[in-house]
Amino acid sequence: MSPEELRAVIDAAANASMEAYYWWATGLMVCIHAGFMMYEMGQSRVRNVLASGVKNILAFAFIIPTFFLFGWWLYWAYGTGNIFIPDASAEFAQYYVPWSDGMGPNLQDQASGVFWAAFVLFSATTASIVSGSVIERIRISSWIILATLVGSVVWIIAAGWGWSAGGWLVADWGYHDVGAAGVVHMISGFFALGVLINLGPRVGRFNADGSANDLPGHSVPMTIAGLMIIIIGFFGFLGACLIYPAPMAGSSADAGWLNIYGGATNLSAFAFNTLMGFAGGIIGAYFITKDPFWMMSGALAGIFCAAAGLDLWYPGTAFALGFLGGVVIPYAHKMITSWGIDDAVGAVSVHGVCGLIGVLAVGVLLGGYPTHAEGIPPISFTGQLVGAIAMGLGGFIPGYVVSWILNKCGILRTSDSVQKLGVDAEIPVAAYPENMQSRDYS
Amino acid sequence: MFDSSPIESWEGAGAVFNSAGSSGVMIWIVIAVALCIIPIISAIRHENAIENEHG
Repeated sequence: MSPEELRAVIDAAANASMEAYYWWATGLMVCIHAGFMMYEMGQSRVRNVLASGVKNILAFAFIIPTFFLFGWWLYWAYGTGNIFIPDASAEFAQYYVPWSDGMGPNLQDQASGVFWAAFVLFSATTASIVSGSVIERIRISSWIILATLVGSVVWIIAAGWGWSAGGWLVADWGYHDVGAAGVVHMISGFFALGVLINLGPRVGRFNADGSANDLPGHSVPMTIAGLMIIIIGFFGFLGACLIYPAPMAGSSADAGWLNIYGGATNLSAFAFNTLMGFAGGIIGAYFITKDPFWMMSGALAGIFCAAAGLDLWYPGTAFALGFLGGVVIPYAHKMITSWGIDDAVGAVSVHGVCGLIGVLAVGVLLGGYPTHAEGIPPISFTGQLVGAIAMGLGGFIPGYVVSWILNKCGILRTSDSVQKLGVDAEIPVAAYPENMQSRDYS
Repeated sequence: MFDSSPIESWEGAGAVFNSAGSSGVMIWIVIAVALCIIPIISAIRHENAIENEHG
């Protein structure tokens, strides 16, 4: 075998293993959606269980074709430094228009399909994050529109800004967010906040004097199990945030694992810090609440607080950040509730607030780290602050504006009478047909 | 649209999906867009019917 033939064999094996890596990471990420569906159905009262599930299923389904049609293109069109206007002339934006040879089975292109698939699952995750906060009163039609907006437009533009190595936040500010604390969790959490303001609370959530009633879901065990399944899925999610060391054309990936910006890292770094953040979040929430709902939400919060710097944290730091996230989320949720906002699962607190903590923590504790390429500023608090502001506003404004429009059109919110009856009135089958009834809080 | 193979041989083939590199792809894109929009309209009509039925 000649050296050229040997090289061809090695390249073929590396490319096939790269495809397999993202294929299975994508499959693992489906657990995020299975988990969110269980979590949201568990948090729903009996009369709303299936509507919550249908909403989650449809978000996933609509994001796949819309991300094919325009979402993937948006990522590449916003990855060259533009803030508002997509750069249609960018090389990969031209390659990823939905009618190109790169957007379908292509024997010369082993990367595009699996990368697209991984990003589809990231996208569906953003919608699932928002999904829980709006259960039991949003109309499914509006939800499909909002889910498509956050999953196939809003977050992916933010990813172009802050994840693409050529995005303006990265190139101009040295923004560092390898595990998507900002581009996924802040965007989704603040998008949810914008929607919740217009959507209003569930019937019975608040009293005339402004005090809040708890509206407990019908199955705490289902909720807790769902949260644990989400954690499983996030191992796929975070693994897919890495660039596999395959010899792809024009890539420097031969050198080893790369983070999303093309900087050196490895799976071991992510393993240390994902697990330490996870554990810190559970323990922090247990310390404050003793409540298994918040403990498992704390597990997510802990991962998100560590996510932006998963490649750089000392594991003890990731643990402390996770602990902080676990402590903060019940208080942040209480504060948001005191504003008259009904976030049914604490998504704004867990994703928005902890994403913010994660982004800013990198600025406070990792300042001065050099970045992957010459001319890009090192990590700094200023860069992370600019990124946090961009992610907060980038999520909140579209969520608020589009939900305001849907509300004015009269299709955002299920009527109070249908809420009292149960949103499952719109579903042709019953969740528990034999004996379970909702308690009436209205 | 129906005679849609973009290749005459597998030797050195690149894009192999039906209608690759031709305007036939646009027809499927239009169909995909329609298949996303029509169910949303259907959902709105269904929800309105339930709302009207239950006041």
